[in-house]
Amino acid sequence: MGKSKVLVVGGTGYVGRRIVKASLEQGHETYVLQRPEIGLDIEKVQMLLSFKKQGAHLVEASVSDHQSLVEAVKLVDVVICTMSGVHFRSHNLLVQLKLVEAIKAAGNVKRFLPSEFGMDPALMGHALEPGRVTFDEKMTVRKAIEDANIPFTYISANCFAGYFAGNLSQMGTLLPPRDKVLLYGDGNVKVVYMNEDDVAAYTIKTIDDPRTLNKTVYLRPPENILTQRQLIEKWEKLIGKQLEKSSINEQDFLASIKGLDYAAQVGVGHFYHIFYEGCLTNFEIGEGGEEASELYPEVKYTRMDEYLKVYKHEKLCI
Amino acid sequence: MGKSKVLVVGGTGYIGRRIVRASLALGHETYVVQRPELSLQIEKLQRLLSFKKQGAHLIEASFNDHKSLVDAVKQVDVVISAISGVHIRSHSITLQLKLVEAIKEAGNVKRFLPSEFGLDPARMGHALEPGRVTFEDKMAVRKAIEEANIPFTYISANLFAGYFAGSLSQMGSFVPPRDKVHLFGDGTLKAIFLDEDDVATYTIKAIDDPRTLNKTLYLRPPENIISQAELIGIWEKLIGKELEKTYIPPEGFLTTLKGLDYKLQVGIGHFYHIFYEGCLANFEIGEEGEEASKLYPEVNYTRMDEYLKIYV
Repeated sequence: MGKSKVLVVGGTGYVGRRIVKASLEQGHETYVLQRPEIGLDIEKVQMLLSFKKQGAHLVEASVSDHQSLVEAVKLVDVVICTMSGVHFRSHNLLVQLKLVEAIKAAGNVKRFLPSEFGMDPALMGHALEPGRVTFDEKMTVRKAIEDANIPFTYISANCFAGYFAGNLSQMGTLLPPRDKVLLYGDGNVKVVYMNEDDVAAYTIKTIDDPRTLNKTVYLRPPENILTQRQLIEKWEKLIGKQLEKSSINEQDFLASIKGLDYAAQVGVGHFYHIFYEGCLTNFEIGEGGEEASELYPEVKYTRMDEYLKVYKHEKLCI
Repeated sequence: MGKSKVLVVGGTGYIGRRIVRASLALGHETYVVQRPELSLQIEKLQRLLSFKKQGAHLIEASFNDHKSLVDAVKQVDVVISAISGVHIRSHSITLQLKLVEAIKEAGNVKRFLPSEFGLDPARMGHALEPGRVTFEDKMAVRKAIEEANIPFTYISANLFAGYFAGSLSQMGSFVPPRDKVHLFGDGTLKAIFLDEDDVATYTIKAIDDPRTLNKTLYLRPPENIISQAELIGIWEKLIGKELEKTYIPPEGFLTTLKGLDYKLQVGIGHFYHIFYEGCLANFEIGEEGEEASKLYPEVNYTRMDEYLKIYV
């Protein structure tokens, strides 16, 4: 397949920077949107410059300037948006509506991948407040895309390992616990954990694939479909020690929502659907969907025992 | 020279991460402090884990736990502190006093490099308030080091190019303007700009060098001693266009201090000393100092025309 011209919007973000890297690695001509406000953030400026050194093009445009967005979009075949697409952050998703307007006006885009990269919002109509805001907003963006007849691929990427595996799915930390671990229910609900670099690699594989046109691509590599308990067992095997386990039942978990701030309530709601309802695995993929590891068996995805190795604590030689 | 065991404190910061990388690149056994407070900061945590994948060791230690600091320090020969050492940020420098206490108690450290990497605080006793706080804090740390007889090297790194060259020294941006530019005074005072990677390389070169023991190492590579006007000239040549220039006299510059928040006042004070007084280049290096590009001519430092190319 010939290489595509790809524009990444949100390229300095958590998943965005991995998408930029994967796009460059897979040989695409890669453009990264540089918003004027970025000039005030030294970390983002330096990240953008490092993309440029690796061969990306920087395109200056503002989401509040329609014409600049249209001009940016006209440069490319594919637009990928990763604005605040990670878990626990649910703001700014609707800014994509301006991007949809620009893509519609430009008329040249062959594929648009909006900011999804989590749970499938089409399956989350029943979600608890206030976490449902994430899914409502993503569905609003999907509707705008489909109303405008923009060709799309939605990436349902499930749990990012940096947020959910490294910490054995414990809330309030990103590192694995040393001694005690909390199980959600009996810990036997199936979850899907993804190394973020694999999310990016699969995403870039889909962008010009006719099999993924106007489809939802689910990232469900079989060996990463694990229960929380299985994840913990992998860690215990790595460190050669058993953790002291306690369990929190569904009612107590939900009761903990009271008194939390808005962002934490969003997070608890999402955790509930993932770990008590099994929303990542409790459905069959239908005609509107494809599974990434079946489409792209050449991608050697990171298993979670490999992923967790770097978290092992070194002993100090005192 | 045999390789050293190096501990970097503040290893995820702007200059700290470059120091970690330089230490690994030059073959030292490199340890990075991982503070427990980092455990919810995904960016810093992932950066630490990527250091680990490159061969660094992570040591858990907290400034609130003296013993953990002593234990960390005992693992190594050299301690480098890069705590908030960049320009315009002046908090947490005195946290290093806890590090000094730990080094003193451990007794094994052959060299300590405190968080400096900017203007030489020993020369800034006359500095304007409130910017002077940065230098006073650094001098308090120096005093503690010297009273404890800890072997040291102070790195006077001058201006980080990412902050001062990439923006053509304009305040309020980190990317160069394409149409209009402000010059401080007539823009002819010499300043010294350094690619941050070169700062890190020179730093790691110095850590086990007897010539830099108990000295201040100044980073003054000759071709990077340029005025603001010369820097702007480099950019104009690169983009093939002349910028519209506005000159700000010193009186006009200082009046902007009023009404600004504390942090900006600190920054403006520092800018004043650099660009109106020429404090980086207006003195000769004496017996207590050495110059990095003379000691380490093998370092092929980045000139500013090369540095600015990526911004075109």
